[in-house]
Amino acid sequence: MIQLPPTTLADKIILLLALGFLSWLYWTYWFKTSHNQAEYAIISSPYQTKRVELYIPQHLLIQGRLGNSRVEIQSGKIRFTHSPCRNKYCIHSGWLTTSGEFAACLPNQVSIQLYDHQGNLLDAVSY
Amino acid sequence: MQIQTCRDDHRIAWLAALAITIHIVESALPSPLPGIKPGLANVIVIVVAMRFGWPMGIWISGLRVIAGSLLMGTFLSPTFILSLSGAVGSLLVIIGLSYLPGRGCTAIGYGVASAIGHVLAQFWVAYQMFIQHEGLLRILPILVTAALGFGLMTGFIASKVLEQWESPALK
Repeated sequence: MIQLPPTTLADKIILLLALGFLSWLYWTYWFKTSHNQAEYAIISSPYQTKRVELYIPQHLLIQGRLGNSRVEIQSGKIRFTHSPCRNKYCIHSGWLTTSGEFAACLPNQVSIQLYDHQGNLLDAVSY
Repeated sequence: MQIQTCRDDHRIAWLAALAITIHIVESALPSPLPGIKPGLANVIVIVVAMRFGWPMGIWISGLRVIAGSLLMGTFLSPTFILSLSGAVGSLLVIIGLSYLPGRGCTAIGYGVASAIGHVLAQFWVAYQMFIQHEGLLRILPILVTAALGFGLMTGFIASKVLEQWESPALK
């Protein structure tokens, strides 16, 4: 049986502070941080780069290398709906909602990148 | 020419050698996450600081960081800077705790507080120097949890060492 050494009041205060600090850390960095809802998207193609706000519902035709990609915007989200490419990966990416999300049609050279107004884009950089 | 050495010098050399050995053995252990390791060398620093006062703790810790990095070939590398910043953080906490009024805290308190000081200082330097991104903060709770656990462990070991040190059998 391991016998715990006697502790003083200061030890207990240190342990309490440590536990309090730790709970605060978990609360602040794990639970409170929600994903940033994207506010606008930058759509780029070989012929244009345009910025669209995501609160305006609309359909857009974006001309790419192969033809027109169709993009749908609906209350804070955006997706590819039609594309002249073969594999339709861009359409399968589905709705994009979070700042930093990205979808692209490589054959047609059209891409969508989502941003929020703080300019938050990347989750992390490692090198 | 012979350099005059005193009793303290010998004591520092012995204990620093012990701390360096523990440090190097520990660096060979696999870690689940970069930045998480038991920090057993801190046992020596805590014991020394409690038994002989914090100035000697600085000697042991400083020698461990410098000699340990020379032996492992990381001297003046980013690893060294992180190791040094951790040691500074943990020593600052130990110095602060040694001025507590009354009975102060035991090795458990030293272990926990200095481990958390270590990890916070190291994290802060890593954040400032290498990756300044908020995403990095999400790993902080895990690092501090590990620091708390390992701090309790090193504190416990340090208190056992001190117990043995004080025991009449050794005198």
